[in-house]
Amino acid sequence: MRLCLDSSIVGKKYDKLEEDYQLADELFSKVMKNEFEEVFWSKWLILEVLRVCVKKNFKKQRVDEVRDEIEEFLAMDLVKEKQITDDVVNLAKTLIVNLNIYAADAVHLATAILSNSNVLLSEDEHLNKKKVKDFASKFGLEIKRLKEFL
Amino acid sequence: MTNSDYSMVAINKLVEEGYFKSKREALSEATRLLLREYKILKLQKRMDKTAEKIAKEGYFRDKSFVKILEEIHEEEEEP
Repeated sequence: MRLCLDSSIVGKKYDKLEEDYQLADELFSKVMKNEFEEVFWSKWLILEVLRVCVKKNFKKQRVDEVRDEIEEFLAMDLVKEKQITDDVVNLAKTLIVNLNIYAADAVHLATAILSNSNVLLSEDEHLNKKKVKDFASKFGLEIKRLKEFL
Repeated sequence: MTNSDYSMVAINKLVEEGYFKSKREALSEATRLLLREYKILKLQKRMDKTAEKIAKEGYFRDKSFVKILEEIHEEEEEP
């Protein structure tokens, strides 16, 4: 299984007050045990995660910890970070026009499609709309929430 | 036989079967994999500890990470 994650999934791993925190925890344990063929996320992801941390006035030490941990995840090759190439941007443009989704969501969806992922995991309500899921299915991609996946 | 003896027998077998050129190469790969396992374990513990601190400091007490992320998407598209 080729899996793509968006920022909401990584964010859940850091939000213990969320009802599905345990599911995020379980997913990360599986990723760390190499239970999936490949796991991807977009280079955009770390920017969004850090933006949330700063918006919520995290102390600097905490922001640094989150950033370092995400970067170590990549350094250990547990996840492959996909560049925002012209192909990603071009497909994202099509997705925005066709599906009326936010630019960030379009980048995550385009990344999932172009990495030939089977599943895009997201807790974002816009990406989990029926019309977006139907469109993604044309590319052999399922969009799922954690509770639908685990 | 001790556990160590069993390990050496297994390593010798891997060399005989051609998976490694020598015992040295097999042991080097085994060490690399062991260290990687420990590094992953340490990273997992660090992430858990950071999540614990974030919860204690209450950053997501009023709104979840996912909710704030969705708001950021909306804000960044405002004129």
